Amino acid sequence: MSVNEKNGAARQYLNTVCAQLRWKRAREIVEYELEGHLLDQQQAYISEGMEPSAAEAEAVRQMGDPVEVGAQLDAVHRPAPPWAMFGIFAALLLSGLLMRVLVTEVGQRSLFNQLFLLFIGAAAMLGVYFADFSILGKYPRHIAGTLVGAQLLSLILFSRPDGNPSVTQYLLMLSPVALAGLIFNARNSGRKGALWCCGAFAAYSLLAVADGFWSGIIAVMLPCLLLMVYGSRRGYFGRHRLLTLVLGCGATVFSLVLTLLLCVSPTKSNILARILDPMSDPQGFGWLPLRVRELLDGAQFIGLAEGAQQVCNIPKNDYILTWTIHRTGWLSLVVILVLFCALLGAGIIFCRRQRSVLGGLASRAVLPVLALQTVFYIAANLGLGFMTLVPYTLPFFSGSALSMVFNSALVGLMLSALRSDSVIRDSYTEVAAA
Amino acid sequence: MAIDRSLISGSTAMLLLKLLEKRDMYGYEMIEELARLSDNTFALKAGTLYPLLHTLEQKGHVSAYDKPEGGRARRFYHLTDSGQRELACRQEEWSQFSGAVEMVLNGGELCVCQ
Repeated sequence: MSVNEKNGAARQYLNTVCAQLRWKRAREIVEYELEGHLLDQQQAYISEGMEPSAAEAEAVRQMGDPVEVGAQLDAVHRPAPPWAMFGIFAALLLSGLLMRVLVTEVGQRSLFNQLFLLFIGAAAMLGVYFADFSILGKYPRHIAGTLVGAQLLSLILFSRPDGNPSVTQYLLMLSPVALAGLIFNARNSGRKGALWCCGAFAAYSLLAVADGFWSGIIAVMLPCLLLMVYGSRRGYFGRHRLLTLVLGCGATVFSLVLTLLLCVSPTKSNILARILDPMSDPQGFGWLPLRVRELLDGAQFIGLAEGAQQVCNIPKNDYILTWTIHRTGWLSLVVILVLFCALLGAGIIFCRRQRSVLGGLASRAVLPVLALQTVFYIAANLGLGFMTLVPYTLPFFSGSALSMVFNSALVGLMLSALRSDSVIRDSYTEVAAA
Repeated sequence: MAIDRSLISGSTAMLLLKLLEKRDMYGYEMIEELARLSDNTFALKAGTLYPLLHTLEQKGHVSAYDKPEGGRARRFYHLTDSGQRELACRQEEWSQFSGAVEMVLNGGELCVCQ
């Protein structure tokens, strides 16, 4: 068709219109729609007996002045930065910096490290924010497969240093994001798409079990299961919703059973009991929760805890919240809770308003991952029994560069989905009978 | 007879919403249908249609999706619940406006059409 000729009147018209749009992401959708219209108009004129070149010229004339049209479309298509979310994210980063400086009592060298952490967090967020998140929907199987490979490799190559979250755990926590892309794609793929989702869910669950952290298993499986249920309820699996749900739940149950079986092996016969009730093992699993509770015992609402002279061996980096409460009071916990509730609450509100299916799925993949890390970490830092064995970091507050980059990138992904909501198109095609 | 554009521009959005009330349509189809129903009185240009459609979509009065038709994927528009309410509101507004204009043209008397 003549629209595709480089110097044709139709192509020149489209180029002129698109050149008026300052937001490049919007050009693709505008060009696509106007091109389709030109083709329809040309066809109509040709069927009336016009010559193709004359039909093209008349079709272009009927469209209207390209600069004027482009300017009107430019006025409609402007990126909408979610300023409120930016503000909350900035508040979290700055609060995290303040907390790390207060708790670790840094000298000049370490202060530089803390500022660098702030910088890489902001850079990671902005980098993902300005990237094209729609690749999640364009290449979901490549992304999901690559992630499984990376997780497997990481599981084999990297051990967990001192019980802290490793690269493997952060790769595992990307599983819901990859699954979101697969579920989006399943809308157009019939049974094959549904099976891909189930297969990926099962793979991620089993890798989480192989990693060995029960908290990691929950942090991977729960968001993935929620996404599968959400996708099923929205009809994204078409006629295969029941099959998908059964297989998804089956993978969850199987993974949990496998985890329990591993815990009750002869060599680990009472480990599960001690993990669930650490106080029964004060010199073993209970040692850490007891130390955390001692540190919190004299904590005031504002100010240094009473009896603050006692020495405590719990590491400051892993229990930064505990130490902060000990030094500055419970008010610091209130502030952190308010900030996280603001982030998650605003995320939920924007998520529900999103028109784009892919954007909605991406946001629903990110929010539970952020929420679970926060809940686990806060519970551990309050000395809640077995939760002290959970090595998660507190997003944006803990001093781990890996945690900062990972969680900031997740926020960037969610904000990118929000920003692009007006220009992301959820292509739909009739699903062929399987 | 060519109609003054200023008379048309204010009611175009209402007309588009009305078209979509019947069924989902793509852009070119809407222009054709509008011309047919108005006996070619309304010859909407694509350059007017698409900015308006995209604005309606941003406001949530219509939603868009791609669907194959005639051998390729087309962008269809669907009237949302919000669009339904907006249409009802604009129709009421138009009814009042046109009624008032009619009264003035008839010397202040309400014209009962036979």
